[in-house]
Amino acid sequence: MKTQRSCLIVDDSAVIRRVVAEMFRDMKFTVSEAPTGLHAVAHCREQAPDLIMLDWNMPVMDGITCLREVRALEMAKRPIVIMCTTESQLSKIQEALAAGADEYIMKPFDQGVLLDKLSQFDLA
Amino acid sequence: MTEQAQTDTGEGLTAFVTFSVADHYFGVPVSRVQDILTPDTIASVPLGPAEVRGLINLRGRIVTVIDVRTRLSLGASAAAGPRKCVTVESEGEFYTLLVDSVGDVVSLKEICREPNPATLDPLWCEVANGVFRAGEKLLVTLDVERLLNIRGKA
Amino acid sequence: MDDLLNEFLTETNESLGTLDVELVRFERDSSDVTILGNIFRLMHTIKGTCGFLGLPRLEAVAHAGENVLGKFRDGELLVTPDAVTLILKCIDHIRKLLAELEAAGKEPEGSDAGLIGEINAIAQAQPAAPTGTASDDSAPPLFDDTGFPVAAELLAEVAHALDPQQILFVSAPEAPTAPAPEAAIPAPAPEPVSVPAAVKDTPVAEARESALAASSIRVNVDVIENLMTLISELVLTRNQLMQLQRMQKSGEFKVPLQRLSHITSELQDGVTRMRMQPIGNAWAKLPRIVRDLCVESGKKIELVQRGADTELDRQVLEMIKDPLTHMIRNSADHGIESPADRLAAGKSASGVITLEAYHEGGHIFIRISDDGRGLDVARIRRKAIANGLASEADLASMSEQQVLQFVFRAGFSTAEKVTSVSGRGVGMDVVRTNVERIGGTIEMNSTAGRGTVFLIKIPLTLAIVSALIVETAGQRFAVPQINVIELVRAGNRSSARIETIKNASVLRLRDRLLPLVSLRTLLGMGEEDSTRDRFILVSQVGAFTFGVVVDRVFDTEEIVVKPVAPILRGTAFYAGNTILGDGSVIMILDPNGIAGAAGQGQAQLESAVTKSGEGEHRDSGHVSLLLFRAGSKELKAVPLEAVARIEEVSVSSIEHVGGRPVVQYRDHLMPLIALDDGHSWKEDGKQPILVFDKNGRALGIAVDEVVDIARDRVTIELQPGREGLLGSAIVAGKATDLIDIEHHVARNFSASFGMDYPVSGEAA
Repeated sequence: MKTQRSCLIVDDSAVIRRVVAEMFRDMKFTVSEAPTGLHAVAHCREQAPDLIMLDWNMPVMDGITCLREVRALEMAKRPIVIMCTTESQLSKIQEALAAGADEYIMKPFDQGVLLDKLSQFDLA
Repeated sequence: MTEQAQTDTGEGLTAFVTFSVADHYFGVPVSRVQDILTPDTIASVPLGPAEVRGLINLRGRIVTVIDVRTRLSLGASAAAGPRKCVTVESEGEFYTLLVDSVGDVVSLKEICREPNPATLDPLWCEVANGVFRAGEKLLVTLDVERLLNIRGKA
Repeated sequence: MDDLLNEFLTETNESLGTLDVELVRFERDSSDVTILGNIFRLMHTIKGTCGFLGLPRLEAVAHAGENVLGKFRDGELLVTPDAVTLILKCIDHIRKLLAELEAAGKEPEGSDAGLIGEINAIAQAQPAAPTGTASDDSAPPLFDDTGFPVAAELLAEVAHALDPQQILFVSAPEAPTAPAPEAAIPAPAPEPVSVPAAVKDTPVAEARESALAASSIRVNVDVIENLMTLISELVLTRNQLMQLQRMQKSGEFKVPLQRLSHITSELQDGVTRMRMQPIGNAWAKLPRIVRDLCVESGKKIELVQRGADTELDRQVLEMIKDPLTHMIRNSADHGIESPADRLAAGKSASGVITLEAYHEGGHIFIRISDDGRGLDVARIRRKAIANGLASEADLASMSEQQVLQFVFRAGFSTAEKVTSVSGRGVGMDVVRTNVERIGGTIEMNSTAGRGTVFLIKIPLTLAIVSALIVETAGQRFAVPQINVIELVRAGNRSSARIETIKNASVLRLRDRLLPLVSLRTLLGMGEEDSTRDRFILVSQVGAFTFGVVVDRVFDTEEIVVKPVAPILRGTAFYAGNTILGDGSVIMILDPNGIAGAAGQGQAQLESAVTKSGEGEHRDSGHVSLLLFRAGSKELKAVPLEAVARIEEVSVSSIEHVGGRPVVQYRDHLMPLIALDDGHSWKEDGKQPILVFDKNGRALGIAVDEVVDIARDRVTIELQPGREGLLGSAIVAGKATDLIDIEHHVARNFSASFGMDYPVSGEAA
């Protein structure tokens, strides 16, 4: 029996969080949301999600900083992190991967693209 | 709360709540009437307009009591004791019209409505929107908004 | 309407609002990378959400804007007023599309190629000095990214900030402007306008946003409204329970009820605070509006905001947003003159519009003033006649003040041309209606050549307040606790005495004489019965202290203030009405209105005008004066406030020291003086004196008789003929000499009291 996968969506736009959450619920994930990197780190301290969808551009604590902090936490299992952004610069992608991101997805994406990305991990 | 549907009782009929003031017979559309009550205490508002008899507490709402006799310049009432009030709503505020007595609800054919007679008192012309002949009596229908449009004292 | 769409509209409109404010701030200080970063991120997020929701038209417009902002950020584009104006235009267009989206439920058909073309053109048209890379949107990496990527980004930003090209932002005239490659740029580049004078505003939407984002949640407005209604009901029910409990003999309910009461109060406080918002929220759009007006008209205007954190109820805020905007627009459009006109008039080139908000006496005051040209009375007269509002004869008999009030009449729109800045033209009559709908008042004063002031007073009507329940002539009223500083029982047996001098009553309370107002008389409910004990509410409104006489005083109650019905709005002295714990309806008194009856209301507005003016023209408010005769039959007057006491000293107790009369008074020797040389001191019996007392030093002025107390404006008609007088004035219809207390005191003591009359410089 497949255990339920959990996903944490981190984005400052409530609208985007909602749209992405729907996609994941459709794929039978349990979904949590965090409006800032601070919330995301706090969440991860309590409970390690299987997957984190992390936005790049956020106020208070931006995506890359959040990524570093999450990776620095001691966690029961290591969450998969997918950076979401509309930035297309090469250097930024490199930066994210270097900081510990597992994958990169361009916004806006639809469920098809998302499934594709997830298939390489043991999640879909 | 009565709804618009009940006012129009079909076949071009309108239902009115009727009341009398100083032996004159008036009506307002049933759809405008929230309530009919007999308040025992009315809190007066010193320095308020003459037409405002005062305020009452209606289930937690403050309702302004309009003395129709004063509003229509009909003189003071000789009767003692509490008088009936017809409660209406306008633009979110509640008002209750203090009258001598409240009559039945009558349904009248719209085609029978006659325009204000030329001999009608100008003050009444302002607030009346027609007359009906109901038996031998003349029923003057009132426009609630215009009735409530009282110029307060500066 | 789709729920998600709703959320999107709310979120995006909010972001657009913030963008407006931040852009105007950024324009003023284009070296501020934090603001720029914020602006970029906002536009970026808007673009992102549009993408997710499948709104290609909006996405394209946002993308164009984001592109330009990205270039600002990367130092590839100069920040010029033109560029900023275009971004603002982009924001407005997005707003417009959102509105159409909201109305139709889907994105409107159409193309924005024109606007996008304009924006893209600006993005290409002003290259900075060659950066050395051909790529258009990638910043050259300065460091190997396997090293320290964050440091790389920071260093890159610093490098850009220090780039000499960046520092040239503001001195636009030398900016290299490539000739427009396409015809897409609509207007020829105008004379670089120096960035409009600073917008001084309260701290940072950005900081606020960051802090709030971490510690706040969004709650639907209806939920709060519901809560508020429930709390009101809870308060009323608690009041009922308290009432019932008081009538019970058994005390078992007392403790739990007290606890309930305490909890209710806290709940009520909490919810009220939830509804309170800083007025700055209603002011947020104003800097942009003023800025756009400046650019369009070439005027220079500084918008000063004070008290932006003054809080008021959310609903009230909603209702005054539009009126405020309209008045600011008016000031900027019609009030403030062009720099050339201002200089010619001896003013500074830059005009000032001041927006000020503060709490006082249970009300919120909002003051909008400008130092522009003021209202043109002659033009108003002509317009009044043209609109059929008054005849020549009517106008001839009106004072200037009265003529000015015509601007509040319907159909008196002052907008001669509609600027691109706002949508509808809204007249001052609508402003007044809006203000009155929430139970407020608006007053206006204007001086030709100097400027105009509007003062809006809004009661905190949607609040639950502590009120003292009082009774007079058998009827109960509520008085807001906040204005009552003391309760005094006045009667034959008490130490506080009500003195009646002719028709005016005063209360002798410790060192002061307070003017009194009888509630009974004020409300036309009969005459005071001076044989009974009565109670006096010592009240304070602003700087004015006075007493209100009532028959009885009950407890303080927490009441839910409900605004009076529209038909009662014109009735003076009421701030609202409420239902007490026992179910009875009572009126809530307005201390401001009552103070006004005691003669001080006008003074508030006038002092408001003087604050904004140069300070030379000081109109007097109404002043309470004590009238007396001393040494001659001419009437003399002193300000009532200055008089500590009216005493009668027995002639036998008057001693002479150094040839001057003194009397022993409270462990001191109090000198007595006569105002006129011809004054004849009483030989026996009692000598009436007016005692002036400051810092323990007293001075007594001998009088023949105290005549009256009058409340009147003081306009000095004749200059003083001799020392010791301030001049002569008409007080209550009679010629009166105004005594210069300062002078007399100075002669008798080394330190002066510091009392003075406000006097009018107006020619009679």
